[in-house]
Amino acid sequence: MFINPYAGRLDIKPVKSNFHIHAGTGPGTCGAYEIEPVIEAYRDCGYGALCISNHNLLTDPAPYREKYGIALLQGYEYTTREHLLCLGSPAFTPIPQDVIFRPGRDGLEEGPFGPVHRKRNVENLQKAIDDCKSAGGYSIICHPDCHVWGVSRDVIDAVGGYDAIEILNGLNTSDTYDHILSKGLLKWCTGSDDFHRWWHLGVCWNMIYGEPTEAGILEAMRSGAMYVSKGLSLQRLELSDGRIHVKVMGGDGFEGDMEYKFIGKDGRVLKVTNDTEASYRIKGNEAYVRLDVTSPEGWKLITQPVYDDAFFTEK
Amino acid sequence: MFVNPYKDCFEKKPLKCTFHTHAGTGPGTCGAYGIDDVLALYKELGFDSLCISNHNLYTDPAEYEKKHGILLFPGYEYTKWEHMVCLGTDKVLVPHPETMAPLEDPVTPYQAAIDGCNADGGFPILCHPNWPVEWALSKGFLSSVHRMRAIEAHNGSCGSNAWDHVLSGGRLIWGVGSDDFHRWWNLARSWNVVYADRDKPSIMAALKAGAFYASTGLALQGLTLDSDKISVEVINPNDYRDEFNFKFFGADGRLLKEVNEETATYRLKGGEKYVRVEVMNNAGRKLYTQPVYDDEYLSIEE
Ligand SMILES: [Zn+2]
Ligand SMILES: [Zn+2]
Ligand SMILES: [Zn+2]
Ligand SMILES: [Zn+2]
Repeated sequence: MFINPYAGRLDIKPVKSNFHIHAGTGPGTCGAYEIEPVIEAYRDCGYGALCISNHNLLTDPAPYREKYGIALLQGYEYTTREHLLCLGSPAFTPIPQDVIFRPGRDGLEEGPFGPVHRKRNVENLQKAIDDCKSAGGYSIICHPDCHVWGVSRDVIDAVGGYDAIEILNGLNTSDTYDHILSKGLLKWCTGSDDFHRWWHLGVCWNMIYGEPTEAGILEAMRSGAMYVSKGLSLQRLELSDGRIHVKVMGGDGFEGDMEYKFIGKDGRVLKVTNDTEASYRIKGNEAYVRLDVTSPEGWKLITQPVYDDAFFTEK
Repeated sequence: MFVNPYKDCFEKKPLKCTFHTHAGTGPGTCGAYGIDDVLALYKELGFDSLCISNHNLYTDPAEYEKKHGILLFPGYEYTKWEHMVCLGTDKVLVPHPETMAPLEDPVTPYQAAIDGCNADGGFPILCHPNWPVEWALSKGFLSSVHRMRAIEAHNGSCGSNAWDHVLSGGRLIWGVGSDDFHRWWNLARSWNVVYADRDKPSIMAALKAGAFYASTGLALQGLTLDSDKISVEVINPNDYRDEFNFKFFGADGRLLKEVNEETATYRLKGGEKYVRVEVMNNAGRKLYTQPVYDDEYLSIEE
């Protein structure tokens, strides 16, 4: 049976969220600016949920919660050759010394876009995923299979139990996402600014249909009640009479023709429509159908899959 | 005869430029941050040239230019209902500059500002024609104003339809990319790559000749016209993937050809007044080329 993760959710006002932010200039941090001005700028830009996710450093957001009145998840970016966002829990998995993240130092080799860490450590990555999960957290594989810090496909294939992958973080890595889904693993997709400097702010975010609290955000993210946006907003995504009906608008309520691309198993493009809305008739053998919508100026929106629950073995 | 404005461009090291920046927090300014802070970030991002273009307010760039080592054009943004970056002039020609209230006759003062900018050797750029709604600057208005040199092809919204409207009327104007910087989240969303030497007269001459393109992240590697064949080559400097969506547009915004490939070509059939190209990657990053145009149909308005 096909399941729509947005069913019954779209009446909730979505919370604009980004969980991949490097901020703070104290010892061990990797930010360029202090945490407070960064949170303030995100709040001014309309965000209601954030996570300060520094490299291998857990940040306690408690002092900022009251001051800024937005949901702040506790977390960090596990960082070796593989990067993983660990959100919504106090879990922190130490990094073995020989694969620790040391930009510009030893242990590097030439990659196609500059130096990359030589050593992989799949076991420790799996441990970070497991530690996060057992502490009630949510883990996201970062910038998979792309340039310098990409988590390669063989590593992604070797681990399990994570919740989502970043599909938009500078690049669109939807091919890796389709690879994961097509193996019968139901994982969600997220978008990130990977904020380090001001020009990263507000490039790509998640709209989450949940209560604007830490618990509400995590609950919605677990059930896939969210979408990735780079400027567009979801108005409708319904599954009725065997059809998926979808409508997307510009961020400021602008209605115009967009390219709606319906994507199925193995990344196959099932249908492309250029219109103000679109629909797709499910044939039954798709395994999943997800949407990648693009406006003429390059604004985007990526939905979670509407999926056949009989196909997915890991949920 | 078809003319390629990029002829002889690709030997030059391209410059990264933006001409639509609001900054400064003093009286009458419209910025959110100090000019020094904003310029320091553009400099760090590799920009060679920009313009502080505050609403109805001239900002003297001399002291900042020296301090930041970035080429700063004088200019301002003409701001009523209709907006225009008047690049390369220090004279604010706006009736009642203290207000942005719409005018009963929008054409006459707008035309005076265009002519004043041109008289100073400047480059008037019609702004965001589809903001806040599509055709915010109506076809009637676009047809009534003359001698503007450019239009924002990308400034949050896309200006392609208004650009095509002007081009299809036989008037050659160039397409510009602007981030319309007000807040950090506008920074470097869209810019121009200009084939010029690194000095202001050379940049201004290149702008007037259409020797530049608008980008939101992609880089043009080549655009050639070989008898009747237009060839376009593009890269994304941050990616190893090399497939792009190329759209060739002609008069009235008609889509002449669409290709998903590494490079693309278009064969002129004859009768196209112009052909311009928009390229996009799968993450929504774009570039907009200037038109390759038939000089029997299109010319820069004198
Ligand atoms: Zn990372
Ligand atoms: Zn990061
Ligand atoms: Zn404006
Ligand atoms: Zn402006």
